[in-house]
Amino acid sequence: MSSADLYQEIILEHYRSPRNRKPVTDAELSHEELNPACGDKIRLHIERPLFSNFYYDALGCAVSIASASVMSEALKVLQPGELEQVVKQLDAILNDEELSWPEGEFWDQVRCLEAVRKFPMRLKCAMLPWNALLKATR
Amino acid sequence: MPDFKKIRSDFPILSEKTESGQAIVYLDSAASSQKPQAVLDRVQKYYSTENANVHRGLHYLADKATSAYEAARKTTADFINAPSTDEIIFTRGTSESINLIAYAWGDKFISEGDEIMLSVSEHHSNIVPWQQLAQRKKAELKYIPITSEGELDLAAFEKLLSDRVKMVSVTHASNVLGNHTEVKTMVDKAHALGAVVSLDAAQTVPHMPVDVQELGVDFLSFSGHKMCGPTGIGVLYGKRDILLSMDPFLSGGEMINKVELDHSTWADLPYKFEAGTPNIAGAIGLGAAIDYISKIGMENIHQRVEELSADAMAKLSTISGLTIYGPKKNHGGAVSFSIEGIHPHDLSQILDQQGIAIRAGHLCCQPLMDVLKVSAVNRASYYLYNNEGESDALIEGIYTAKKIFGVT
Repeated sequence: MSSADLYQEIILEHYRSPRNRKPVTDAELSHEELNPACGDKIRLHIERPLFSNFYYDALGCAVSIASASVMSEALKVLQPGELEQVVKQLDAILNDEELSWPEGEFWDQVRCLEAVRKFPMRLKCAMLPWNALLKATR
Repeated sequence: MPDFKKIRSDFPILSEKTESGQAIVYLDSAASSQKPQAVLDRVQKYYSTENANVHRGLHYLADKATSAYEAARKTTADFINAPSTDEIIFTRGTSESINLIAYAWGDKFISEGDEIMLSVSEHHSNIVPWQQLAQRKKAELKYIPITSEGELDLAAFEKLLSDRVKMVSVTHASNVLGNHTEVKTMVDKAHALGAVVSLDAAQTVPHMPVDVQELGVDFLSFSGHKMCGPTGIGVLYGKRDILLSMDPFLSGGEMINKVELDHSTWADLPYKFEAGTPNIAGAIGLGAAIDYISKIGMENIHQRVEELSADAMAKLSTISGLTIYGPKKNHGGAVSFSIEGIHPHDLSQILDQQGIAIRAGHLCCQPLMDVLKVSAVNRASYYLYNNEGESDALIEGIYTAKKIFGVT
């Protein structure tokens, strides 16, 4: 398996031009999450009704930035009540190559993260934004 | 100079291949070194022919195990020129050694308002135990800054020093920046004001001659696994008078003299600080590792590693957008760098696909990352078995990563 499998153009494209990423001032900050293993950081701004004006600022690797970017777009097709379930399901799917990829608009959008399944050491990078969002909304 | 090409063949793991058939280029020895066959054989021999608990049984195997364990202590004491084996305490590693000091010395001798002096380039293991102690005792932490070259700022150290400072605990060499601390000067000044000095020597004892009497430090900590020894074994050297004045750290078996129902008295040094059955195989393996590197010569190893890191820095500095951290000379084995447009994790991942192991992240030095104004760095670190060809592979790997990320 080569690194190209992970660093596909779509991941790199999200990394270079992340969607919905902008500075989050302390006044706008809803939640900050750190990956203690590497020092990566994400700061979220959340408004109610949930996800109506969601943006974030992140310091991190291509995988975590791309994941945050994909998440910020995919949220637009999600009901707030579904978040807990999809994050759990995404974590399970990225952990287990045997599980089939679910169908639907949301899952089609996040499918570009599928390559992470072959790189278990990068699971934490991919899940950082999702876990941050989950914590922030609980 | 010893034949370092031949020395490489002493390390069986370096002939292993990755899953995809790549040769292993191991540039992560500052995190943990590889082990020569002599150390693997010694640990195997212990378990095959000498295994029993130490200092308890009166039988044949108990005697063999105890003799081998205590011989390792003597080897360790001689290696760092400790005046006596009583001053060598076996721990799990540098972190446990520093925790032992912070609890067993700190709880007794630090009081409210006292100051503990560290530097901003410390590993978390030389920060967090002191933070905990400071919280327990309402003491204060003071941090020595670094110069733009990455050296500890000795002028600032002198300004911060006062008779309120009871402990100065610093690294002998940063695991990120590679710089070496001017220990002797600091010890003299700290001692003049009555402070105790603890040295984190995890990055230097594996690489160069270290003489505790010449340095004059009160405590010195290091880990076996960074110096060709097994994991789970480390050393705390402490001056006898200070160790005698301290209460035990962990308590239970082995560390007692007499146990009654409501109180106990403690064993003599060093056993007072070695509760429970120790890591016997680890200590014996460490003894074998010390024999192995001593035979090659610590001065030779030091010189070779300096050659390797100088070669790596020269090659890395030809790459555009690449920043190297730390001093340009006397760099030690750790070479940390960052590349514009490629996060360290991504570089490490791409290098891994080519069999190249480096470290990426905050390297357990978050406060130093803040000083350097980065969230993470890459680190290639060198030891006696590495060679210049491995740095060529690293450079090639960096160009591959640049291509993937479209960075020029």
